[in-house]
Order: sequence, then C-alpha cells, then structure tokens
Amino acid sequence: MHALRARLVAFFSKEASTRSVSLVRIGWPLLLWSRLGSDFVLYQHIQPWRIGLSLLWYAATAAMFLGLFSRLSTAITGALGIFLYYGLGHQMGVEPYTHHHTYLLFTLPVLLALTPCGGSFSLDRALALRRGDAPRERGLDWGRHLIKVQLSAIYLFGAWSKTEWGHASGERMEQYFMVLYQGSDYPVWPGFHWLMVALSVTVILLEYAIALGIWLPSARKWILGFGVILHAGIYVSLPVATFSASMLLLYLLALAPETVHGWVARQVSGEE
Amino acid sequence: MRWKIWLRAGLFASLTLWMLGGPFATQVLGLRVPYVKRWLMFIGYGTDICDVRYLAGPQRTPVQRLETLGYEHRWEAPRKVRMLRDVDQARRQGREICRALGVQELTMDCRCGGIRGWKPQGDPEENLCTP
Repeated sequence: MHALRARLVAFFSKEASTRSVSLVRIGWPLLLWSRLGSDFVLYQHIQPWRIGLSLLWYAATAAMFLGLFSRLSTAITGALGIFLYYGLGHQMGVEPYTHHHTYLLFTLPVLLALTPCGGSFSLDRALALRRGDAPRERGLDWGRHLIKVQLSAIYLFGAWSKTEWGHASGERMEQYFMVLYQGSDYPVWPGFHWLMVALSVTVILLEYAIALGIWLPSARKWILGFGVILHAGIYVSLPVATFSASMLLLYLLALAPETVHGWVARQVSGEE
Repeated sequence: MRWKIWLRAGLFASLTLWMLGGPFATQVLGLRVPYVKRWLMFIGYGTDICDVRYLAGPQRTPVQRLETLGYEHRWEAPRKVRMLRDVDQARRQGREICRALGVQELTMDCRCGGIRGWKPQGDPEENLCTP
C-alpha cells in the first residue's frame, strides 16, 4: 500500500519536457480553423449571441495558438468545444458538430489544458524571458498520459466496433469502395474480395495494436510508424476531414517528451 | 502539497473513467448512457449503395449497364446513374435498360449495403420490363 502510494505521488509529480504538448497546443488551433473557421466568420450567424460566441472562439483559439495565457485560453477553447458539441451539435441539431472528428477537435483542448502546454514556443515564455525569468521547459507530465488514454480509447473502441462479421468478411470495406469510387457494379478484377478482406482485417488488428502499443515503449516506434501509414492511407482515400491530421499530431504525445525535445533541438539549432 | 496530488489523481481517474468507461458501457455492454461518446467511426457509411447485376433475356446474359445507358467510361456517368442507393432505384434503372436494349425480359441480382454487410434485396425472378 505504501509502495503504491509512493508510485502514485511519483506519477503525479513527475516532470518532463513541455515541447511536445506545446507543439500540440500550436497545431490544434490550426486544425480547428481549417475545419471550422468558416463557420465562425461573423456574417454566418448574425444573432448577437452567435457573434459573441464567434468572437470568443476566435480570441481563445488565437491566444491558444500564440501561447498567451496558454492554459487558460486552451481551457476556454475546450469549454467552448464542449458547448459546441453537446449544445449546438446535439441539442440544437448542428449535425456536423456531432461527428467523431469534431468531437475530438472540440474536446481535446480540455485535456491539453491539464498539461503545461505554454511551457515552450509561447508568448507566455517569451514574456517571462523578457522579464528576466528563465523558465525551464519542463512541467508536470500526467496530463499528457490522459491524452494518451483518449488516443487509446479511440483506437480500442473504433476497433471493437469493427470486430464483427460485416467488417471481418470484407463486405463493409467493399461498400466503402463502391460508394466512393466504383458505383453499383461489383468490381470484376481478380482478388478484389480478398483484398478487401485483407484490408479490413489489417485495419482492425492495427487499431488494436496501436491502442495497446502506445503504452509499450519497446513497440511504440514501430506501431506509430504503421499508424502513420494507416492514417495517410485513410486521409487520401476516405472523407475523414481533419481526423487523420489530428491523430498524427497527437502521436507527438505518445512519444517520450525527451525524444521530441531532443528532436526539436536538433532541427532548430543543432543543440543536443 | 498532498491535496494537489489527490486533486490530480481524482481528475485523472474521473476523466479516464469518462474516456474508457463510457464507450465500454455503451459499446461493449450495450447500455444506454446519454452524452457518452461512442467511437463508431463510419458505422453507417456506405450502407446506401447497392451492388446490382442486370441479366437480359431467358439466357440471363449479363448486361454492361453503364455502356447500355450510353456511357463509355464509368467516370462519365453522373453519380445518380453510377450509384444505385436502393432497390427501387435499381428497378427504375432496370426499366431504362429494357428500353435501351429493346428486350422483353430483364432480371437483376441486387444486394444493398448494411452495417453488418450485404443484404439481398428484391426478387431475382422479377421481370423488370413488365410495366
């Protein structure tokens, strides 16, 4: 019991580089703007409350991007996201806001606000340096693990939903192919059915593998490599909007923070 | 200091429960829990497509449907011609093919998409050329 308690204290006190969470803090508003920015242009909805909502959303996401009051602006972006998903999406019937990729876009900032996401590449840090502080690019690491839980959950339950005969038989994959590319004529080229079976089974197994693999340091690099291939394939072939880019950005948080820190250092200034 | 650790632990546990327990309850146990996220990506996607094969005459000769309707290449056909979304659309296109081919008998093998795979639709013996 004592040992468990000590491990708990160590886990929730552990610090790590803030560079990976900060990179996600910068990247996330870019994804939000590319997917939803046009919805929040002021003329789109001219009710006073919608104009207020749009202004607040733009202010919060811009501050998040710049790293100004980083955690607060990220938390506000997340709170607005929850309202957009449950309020506008589910209660007021704005159907595109109920999609999976928009849920992830909207709610991830809530988790990101629990990380030291302003610790690097931020106005907060630049202003602190100007004041003469020299904040170390380090902060509590437990929030990053929460985002890994979210990443795992998406793969795990995504794979679970496909673990049934429709997918395992390749028939659902055939339907995706036909609705997007082929039309109502079943392809006559040889091996089509077995290609669809192989693709389906590979996707299901890979999703389970990523869900578990991001927790295994020895397997992580390989698993994430296959994940990059999976998402690149999905991005160029299916209508997934920002989902692939979001997942790949979150892969930064599946890597050890010191790995990302060192990689950025080498790219930026050659420092180690 | 200690209360901060417990606060972090409480937050971590609650949010983990939300992220894992929610989908587990709804997707694995099949419970109905409002507001919980279910990760059912593409669950209904592609279910509005039918796989249709037209067969002409008593010999049931396969018909190249898009060619018969005047499209040399697949990509030249409008989406609504290329994609038959349900058995009624397939029947309607069958009647057009009857006229285009000038045949008296045309049947179809039709199966349409569903979330558990293909589902056979229509009667394979139905003559689509009969008004």
